[in-house]
Amino acid sequence: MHLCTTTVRVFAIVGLGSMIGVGHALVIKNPVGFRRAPAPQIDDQTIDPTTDQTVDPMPVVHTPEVAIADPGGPSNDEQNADAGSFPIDPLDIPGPPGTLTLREAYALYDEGAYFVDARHEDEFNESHIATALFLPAPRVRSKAGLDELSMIPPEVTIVIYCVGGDCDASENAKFAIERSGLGFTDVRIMGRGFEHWVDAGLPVEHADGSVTGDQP
Amino acid sequence: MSKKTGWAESILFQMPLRVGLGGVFCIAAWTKIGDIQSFAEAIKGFQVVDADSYEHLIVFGAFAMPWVEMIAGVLLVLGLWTRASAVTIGVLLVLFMGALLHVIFDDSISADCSCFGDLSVVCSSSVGWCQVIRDLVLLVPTVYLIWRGGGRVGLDALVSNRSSQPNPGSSGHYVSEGVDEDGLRG
Repeated sequence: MHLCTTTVRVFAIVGLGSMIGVGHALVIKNPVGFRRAPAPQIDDQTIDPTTDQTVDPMPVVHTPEVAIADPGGPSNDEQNADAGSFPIDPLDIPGPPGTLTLREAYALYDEGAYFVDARHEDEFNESHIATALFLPAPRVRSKAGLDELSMIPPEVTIVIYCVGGDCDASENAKFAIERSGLGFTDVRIMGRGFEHWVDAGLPVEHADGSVTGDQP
Repeated sequence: MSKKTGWAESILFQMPLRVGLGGVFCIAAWTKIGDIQSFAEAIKGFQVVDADSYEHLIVFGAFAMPWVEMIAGVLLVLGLWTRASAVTIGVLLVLFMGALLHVIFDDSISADCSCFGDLSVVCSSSVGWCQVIRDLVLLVPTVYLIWRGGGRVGLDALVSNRSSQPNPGSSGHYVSEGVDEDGLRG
């Protein structure tokens, strides 16, 4: 009898909570959801101009076009000379589709793009990309975060990074920045993580304020 | 158990544990309700279900779970439906621990707990053993309240006392139905 009553009451609590949750979802101003990473555009067929026949080359993946500066890695010629050999330069290792390589991210860094750190606060405090702002998604939605974000000109490029790989934080921060209503249109994600940036010897600011790596 | 011991247990153990546990869950729920998007992202980050295929399930969970926590927490604080609220919280704690262990044992997942929204209560925000231990600690009073009920101080006791008053129309017989639903004799 008691077990039965308790079970019914548990279901009542869960049911009531679910109903209020659905009601909450209906009245909330900004709908909750996730942005999926855009699928890469893959050319799997091209036309051979000499024969007008379609050929099936290796798929070509389009990544955002940026002017690539050389942050100290081997030149393109050196890379071409080693085209058939492995491993590829760490700066050119691709991240998830649609994200920037370290070389592309550094080129934007050199051009004055704003870098946003989407990792945990303790990780950011320990060290971060020099001049980067601490703006993970929840902070972007807070007043303090919005105030900080509003100081960035909306026309500039923002590059977000986290620990890399399967890290969702960059995607969430990008989504939050684009939905902030501050007019940012060029928000990109560095596909490789902070540790890879450190390993490549690129500029890093530490807790004591010192900057190591290639000075900007 | 004597009447005196029952009161002592209620005042020294059951009520403080009820209010403490309920309060913790109310705070946890409130921080999540304030930023549902972050909580949804945290659930997604746990990678328990595929976000592409079950986005709606994750979003539903992100809205429903904090409200279930809130209702169970408020009921615990009030001492109403104490056992049912404690069972609900116990089930939630077990689910949370399962999800935490899933992240801990899968090295490829880096997730935020978001257990208390932006607040870091005892543990840091990154998922680790600290959160599992914290949930285990919270499970102790939960199990105690499921076992012993809410005690003599609370709305359960009030409702029960009222329902066991002499029925004027039945020559001194007591209405005992519903008594001890939530551990009032425990």
